[in-house]
Amino acid sequence: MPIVGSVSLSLAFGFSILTLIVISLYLRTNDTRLMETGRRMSLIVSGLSLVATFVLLFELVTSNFDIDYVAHYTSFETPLLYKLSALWAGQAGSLLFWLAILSFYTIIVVLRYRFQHHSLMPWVIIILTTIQVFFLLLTVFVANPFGPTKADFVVQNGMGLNPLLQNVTMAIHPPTLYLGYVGFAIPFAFALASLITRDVNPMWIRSIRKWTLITWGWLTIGIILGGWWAYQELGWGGYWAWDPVENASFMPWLTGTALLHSIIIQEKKNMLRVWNMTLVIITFTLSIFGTFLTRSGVMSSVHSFAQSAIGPLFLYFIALILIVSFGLLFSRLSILKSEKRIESFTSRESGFLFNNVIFIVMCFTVFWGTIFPVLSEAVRGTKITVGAPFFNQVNIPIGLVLLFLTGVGPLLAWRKTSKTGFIRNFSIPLLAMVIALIVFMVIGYRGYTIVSFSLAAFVLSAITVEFARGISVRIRKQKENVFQALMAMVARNKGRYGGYVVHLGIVFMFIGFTGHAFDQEKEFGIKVGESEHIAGYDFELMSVQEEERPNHYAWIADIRVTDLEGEFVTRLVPEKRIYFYRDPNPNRQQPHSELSIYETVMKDIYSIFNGIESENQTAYFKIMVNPLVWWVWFGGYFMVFGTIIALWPNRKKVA
Amino acid sequence: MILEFFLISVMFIASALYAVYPLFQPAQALSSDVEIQETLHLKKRVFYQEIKELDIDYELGNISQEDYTIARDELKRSVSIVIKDIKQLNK
Repeated sequence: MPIVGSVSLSLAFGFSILTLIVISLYLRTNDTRLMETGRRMSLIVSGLSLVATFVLLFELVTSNFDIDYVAHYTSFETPLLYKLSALWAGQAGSLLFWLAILSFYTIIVVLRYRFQHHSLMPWVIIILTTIQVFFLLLTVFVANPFGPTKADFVVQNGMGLNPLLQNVTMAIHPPTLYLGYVGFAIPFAFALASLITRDVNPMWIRSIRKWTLITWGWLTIGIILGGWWAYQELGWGGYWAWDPVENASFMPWLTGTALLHSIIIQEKKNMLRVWNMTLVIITFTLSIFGTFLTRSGVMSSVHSFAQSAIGPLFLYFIALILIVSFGLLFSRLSILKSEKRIESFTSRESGFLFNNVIFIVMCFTVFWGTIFPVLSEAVRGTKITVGAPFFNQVNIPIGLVLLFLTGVGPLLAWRKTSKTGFIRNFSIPLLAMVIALIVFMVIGYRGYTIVSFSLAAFVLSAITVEFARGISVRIRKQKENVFQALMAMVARNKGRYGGYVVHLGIVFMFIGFTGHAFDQEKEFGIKVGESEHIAGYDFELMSVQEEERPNHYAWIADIRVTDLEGEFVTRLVPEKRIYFYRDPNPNRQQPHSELSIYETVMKDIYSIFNGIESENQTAYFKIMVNPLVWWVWFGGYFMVFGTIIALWPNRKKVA
Repeated sequence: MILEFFLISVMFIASALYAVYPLFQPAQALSSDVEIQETLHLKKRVFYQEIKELDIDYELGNISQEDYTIARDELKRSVSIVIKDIKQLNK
């Protein structure tokens, strides 16, 4: 069966080249039969890429260890879910997965816009196919996932999946992240097509706004799930470490968020056209750059990058995207310039523009901090690591300005906010902010903590006031009850109120981030029957049991947690596991700590089983008490919910 | 191996036939009117949406009476031009 997968990819590569030729011919001759053929060929390329992906999935599930990739990332003991998720565990598989998602999106675009965007679609297909050609090139010639096992003996069992990846969240996180990354190819294709055809009418902008929002939604889910996985699985007590892989997903998210705001101005006012083009190009380039960062080996060492075949190809492709896109953009500057200007500093337009600037500044700092170690190694020969303190120091104040703007935006009107409107809109949120500031000062909070909580109060009250005012207007004019008024108001403008719900999510997340300032932790070793004290809780080790499971060996601790009054709080059952424990080679045995977390709205109790000394029967633990982490995930739900509201289709009017 | 060869052959032949089929059909003229009409209808929807949002902003007290009147008149003018264009195209 692997031959079917391999040939499917080769056929897809051949058809992709034919697609480019046939559609180019259509553009020269205007013969619609050629366009239809090109369109069908594009569907074939995507279909064959999906066939190849399903073949690899089949090989992973059936444990065909004749394929090198399958032998590397699965074993007989690997559970079915993780055999499936092994598709994106390694380089070759993840590149095929990238191609599969792009193909899935391409099929939707080709079918969805069959009778729309007649002048743009040939170019949209050409651009999407060109991206497919790049990934087909990689999967056919450089990192073929169907390559045979490089061994002159029969492989009895595979190496199995990294234990850290054997987590349900990790099975969902990469697909959502990829749906986000890859999805930015669609706005990019439309933007470039509009530049090529000099089409600046608002139709395609509306199409890509929806695509951008869908893509942004997936990326948001992916990033949150990544944080959730890190928190649940990695055992360092946090959810965001500013490591290059996290930053790789965060950068397109930042520019994508900026785009989501500024594209509204283009749609409504036909302004910021050059800026939006720039954002679309940068966001897509950052998506490719993110894949380059995680797949080229450049972050581990410049030397491993130079030796890898993937790295330089990605770099050439990024250079090609930037040269072609910005070359086109500069050549079309005259038709993109808007005659309109922002009328007032106190308008929603200027608020959006200001938030765009802040997003870009933040993206640049993350970009700089991420690539600085690579640059330092390339230029000076020594790698200078840029750690979380740098990112926190730079990005916390920028993040707080963004939080402030999240509250300010909804209070500003389009064109100009009148003086009376300004006073009325800002008075309650500002009052809430000042009250919060005083209360938290009295409690004893200082520094960024107090600023963050006060700004959260400002934004929460600003959004609440917006909802309350809208509801009260409807109650007065339409004689509806509160619930009816809320539903009708949201239904009337889903984009606006969905956006407010997303903003609420951001506020809740900031509350969660701020809780990090109050984290407490302790590491200790205890025997069964002994207890330790931390942050107002007692931790008594009740037992340590051993268990042999299909793919690992586990020591399971049972810790009873009580508060200062001796009241029972919870039981924690962290585990120490050894994966591949049957492997005769001790170097292949992989220890892994399975955490046990007690989550509440106010704080999490986070336990890590570090190890056990058999001789003196001592078990070693790390306990952390992390306040307000729950709010990070709660905010995430709001962001997703808000995105769904904004994307919810309008009810079709019945004639 | 035979099954695999058969599958690959079927895949290739089916794809090739599906792709070249339109080339043996008569060519169809592409009407640019359709796209212009789509654009105009979309413009109309955008202007109506803007009017709706402007009304919300006014109802919420975010915009003064004077600005509201000017902006609404401007939008109504734009919408009537688009409707006129649609009617002309339909004639």
